[in-house]
Amino acid sequence: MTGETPVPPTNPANPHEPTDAALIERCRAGDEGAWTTIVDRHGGLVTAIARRQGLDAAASDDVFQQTFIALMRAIDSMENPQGLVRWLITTASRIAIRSATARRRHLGLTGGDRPDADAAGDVSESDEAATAEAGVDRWEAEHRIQRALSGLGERCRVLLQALYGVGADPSYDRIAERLGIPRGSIGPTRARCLERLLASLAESGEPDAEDALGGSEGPE
Amino acid sequence: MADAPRPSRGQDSSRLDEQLVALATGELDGVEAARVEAEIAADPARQAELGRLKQVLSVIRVGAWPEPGSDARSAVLEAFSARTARTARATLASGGAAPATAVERLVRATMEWIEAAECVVADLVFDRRQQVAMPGFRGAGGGVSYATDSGRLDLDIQSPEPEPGPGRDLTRVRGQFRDVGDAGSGHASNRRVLVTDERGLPIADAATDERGVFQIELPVGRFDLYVVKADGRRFAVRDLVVD
Repeated sequence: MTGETPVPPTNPANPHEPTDAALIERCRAGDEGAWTTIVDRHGGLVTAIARRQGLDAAASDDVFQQTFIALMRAIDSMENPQGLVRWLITTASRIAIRSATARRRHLGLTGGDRPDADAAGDVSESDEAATAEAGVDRWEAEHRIQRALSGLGERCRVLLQALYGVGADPSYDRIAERLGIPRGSIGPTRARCLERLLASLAESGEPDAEDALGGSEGPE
Repeated sequence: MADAPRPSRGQDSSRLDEQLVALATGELDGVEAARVEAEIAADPARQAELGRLKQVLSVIRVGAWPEPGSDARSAVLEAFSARTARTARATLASGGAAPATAVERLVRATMEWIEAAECVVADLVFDRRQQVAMPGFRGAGGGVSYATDSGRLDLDIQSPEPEPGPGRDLTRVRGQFRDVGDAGSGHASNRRVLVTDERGLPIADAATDERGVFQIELPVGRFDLYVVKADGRRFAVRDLVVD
């Protein structure tokens, strides 16, 4: 054990939340609750990776299952449990790319002008690995923010989603009516919510997402 | 965003800079935006905060992660449960520590039931599904027969019709057990039949009728099936495959 960094049992930003590494240790001891927590904590990330490869819900569920079954098989030999998220991103990306490629081939579609595909719509293993690796930092950063968002109270989450999410409504009056809060409290509440969100990200102590997302519109 | 109130710089420096929020969200008009940008141009801390705000907002715009399907989620949870039970089974079989979980206790109870009397593993003697028929043996209906020196079990495994709805993906397994031996052959009535899954967990329990017939429904998988004989011994079928 010399030279190994001790695994913190809980997330510094949330003492009630066990770290991935602690959950992996518990899974190795057969703790089904720990496994459920891992699946629920990261299942959305895996599904999102599949969906952004253009896969439908059923195919994305296949990717989800294959990824977590692969994790289950690898869990005892995983050398870096702290790197679980990166492992999941890489594995899910490869499976999703392979699935998307197979579907394109099945539909008789070619790769077109996609730089990662050959004339038959195939992606070589090396290209597949490179493509999977390329997005890891961005996915990890987005996942970290998604987790921080989910850790906010529902009031904050709903408000931020209403203001800036899909189908956002620019009218404070309508948002106030919809959420049942005074119009004048929207601005201060928004500021508190964003402040808590940034504080949570800062306290999580994980790698800075700044470079990974680069202020763009998130992972492609 | 004409309806939004014009933000003002917070009085408390520890609080989030509302000008930055307004800039990040695009609420400022061109003149105001340019003024704030100029103001923070020489302030690396505020520039970094603006960058973080933009990142967060970009993720909010994408929306929450999609949820995996409930069936897919259940499948990976059950797979881990099966793995845990297999491990528990192996530990208990090797005389390991006392069972700690409900699954372990159930596995142990089942194993104790199985081991309470001599267990004789039957041989596969006929399998129509594999198109293998051994001379001298007769298969029943759908196709699989097992035998020992003292018993015979014929199974008819009927794949379900592909119909939607809960419970429609179960395979009906109809069986008939007969005692065979020096005392003669005959239908074995009122015998307990127990089926365990790969984890060693009991998943089906039935009793034979006066003709030695029983019926159970099983999901796709690999199972062990036990019939209690008249002498108390267990007639065991290992690795019965339902696909």
